[in-house]
Amino acid sequence: MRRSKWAGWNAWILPASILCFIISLIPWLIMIYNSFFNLSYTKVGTGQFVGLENYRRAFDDPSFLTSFWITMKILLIALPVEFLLGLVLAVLVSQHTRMRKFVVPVLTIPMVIAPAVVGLIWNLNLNPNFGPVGIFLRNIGLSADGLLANTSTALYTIIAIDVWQWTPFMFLLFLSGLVGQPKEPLEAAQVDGATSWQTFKRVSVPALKPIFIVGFLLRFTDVYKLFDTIWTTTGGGPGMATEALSVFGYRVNFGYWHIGYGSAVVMLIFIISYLASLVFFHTVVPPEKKIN
Amino acid sequence: MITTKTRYSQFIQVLGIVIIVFVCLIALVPYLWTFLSGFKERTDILSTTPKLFFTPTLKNFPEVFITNGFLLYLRNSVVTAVFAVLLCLITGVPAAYAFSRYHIYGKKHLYFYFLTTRMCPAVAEALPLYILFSKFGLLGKTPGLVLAHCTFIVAFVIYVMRTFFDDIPEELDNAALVDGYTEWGAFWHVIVPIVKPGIASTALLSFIFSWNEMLFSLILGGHSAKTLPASFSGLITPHGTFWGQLCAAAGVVTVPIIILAAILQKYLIRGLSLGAVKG
Repeated sequence: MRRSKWAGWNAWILPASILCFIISLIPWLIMIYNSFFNLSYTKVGTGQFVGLENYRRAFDDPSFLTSFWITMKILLIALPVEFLLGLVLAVLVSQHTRMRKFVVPVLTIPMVIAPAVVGLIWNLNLNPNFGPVGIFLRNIGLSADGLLANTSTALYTIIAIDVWQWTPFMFLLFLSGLVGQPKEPLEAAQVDGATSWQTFKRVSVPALKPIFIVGFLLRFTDVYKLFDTIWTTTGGGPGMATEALSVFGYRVNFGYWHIGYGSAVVMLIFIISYLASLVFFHTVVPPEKKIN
Repeated sequence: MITTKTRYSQFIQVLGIVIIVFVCLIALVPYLWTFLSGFKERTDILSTTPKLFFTPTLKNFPEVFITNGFLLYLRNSVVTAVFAVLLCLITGVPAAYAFSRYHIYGKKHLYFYFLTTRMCPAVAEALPLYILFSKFGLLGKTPGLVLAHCTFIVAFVIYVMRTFFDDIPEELDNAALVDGYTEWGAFWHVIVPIVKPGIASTALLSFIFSWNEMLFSLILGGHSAKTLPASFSGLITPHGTFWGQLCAAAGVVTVPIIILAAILQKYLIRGLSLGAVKG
């Protein structure tokens, strides 16, 4: 590893650092500053310093707490389902190698198209009057007014949409892990008389552990900030049934224009994603090369 | 005994294929249905018995892109994505190289800082940017949106490109330096040509991220700079939802991306996992 010619930061890194400081570090500092003020764009005479009042208020705000639980619920259900389905599918496809060529491009479609379009797709397909899935569900007597319009089913539908969209990602991760696996341990296990289930459980799955961690952290941060699909299907409704953290953060700031309180809310949302990045950084990011 | 065993394994084999095909249909059909609806008359879309066969029409496309002005949003999408990708490559690729090769004071902290810009919820970037942009007159302007998109693309470029640079043995740099290249010359004339495929795929994936992004465009784009994903809600009006036009626009947003993704297939996992899984 070469020493930088400059004692401090060198010119290679400077442009990217300056760019990121301007568009993200300075804005963050402004947001932290604003979070200590009673600031609103719709009320006159606001802007007094209130200290930590905005943060205290967030913990007393039932809407904030509800949206927190909604996000937790999405995380707790969507992630395990995506992992399990992705793993099963990857194992199946890894055994039918000839199908990979056509399965992989098809399954990438849901995860590469714009999340806004994913919302639109399900809005159309789940419509109880003219969407194929919606009509089917109505005909078998499950949901007369559409899954997304019903308070008790809307959140689970959002979760199902996320599963539809992102199971392929877990599938591809696991598939690349299974296919790239060295053959020797598998053969050794077979020679030792292990059944295929034992081989899978004791050899393949432990080898997938790093991939499992990467997938978990990436899916965690993405589901945690889920916004687009909710916004384009339910907009957070009906009522507040699908108002996840990002949607709530959006509404406080750009619906009610309570910028001071909104900044505190967004800061609280930000802290958890910061912790997730910290974990990601220390578990997944490859360490510096040990050369020279 | 042997025959029952082979029959059993044949059954498992077939069952596996059936499940895989079924899953592919679940992934594909809802999208195809939406795509096809872009070629349907209003009455065919709103039909209470879903119509698989219909007389296709192209009239939704001029209606949405010309009459409803979506051509502007399409232009915004292209311009924003192209400039955001260029800006991020110009700044991000040399930074990634430095992270792979140099000792830099505070390197670890800086590298982590870039990660937080990628992981942080978009609303936590968009809110302070809204306040900042309103002071500098960048709201509703494409340059503002380009900068906003850089918040999540720069980090992506740095993280993924670093793994490409890490794959190249450092002896190559040293050989180039011995041959009389400057540091910059070694990077530009020796290393960059080797990672060209990596740069190209990183650029295309960054393009996809910018193209698909909605929240920044919704908050910072205003009317004149918003991109296609943020403009769909304009077709859902109190007088009804223009499904044909929505689906036509959705087709235009998704088809180029699906083609790009097919080209990038080998690289998709490495990109989406920030270089952590080589795929």
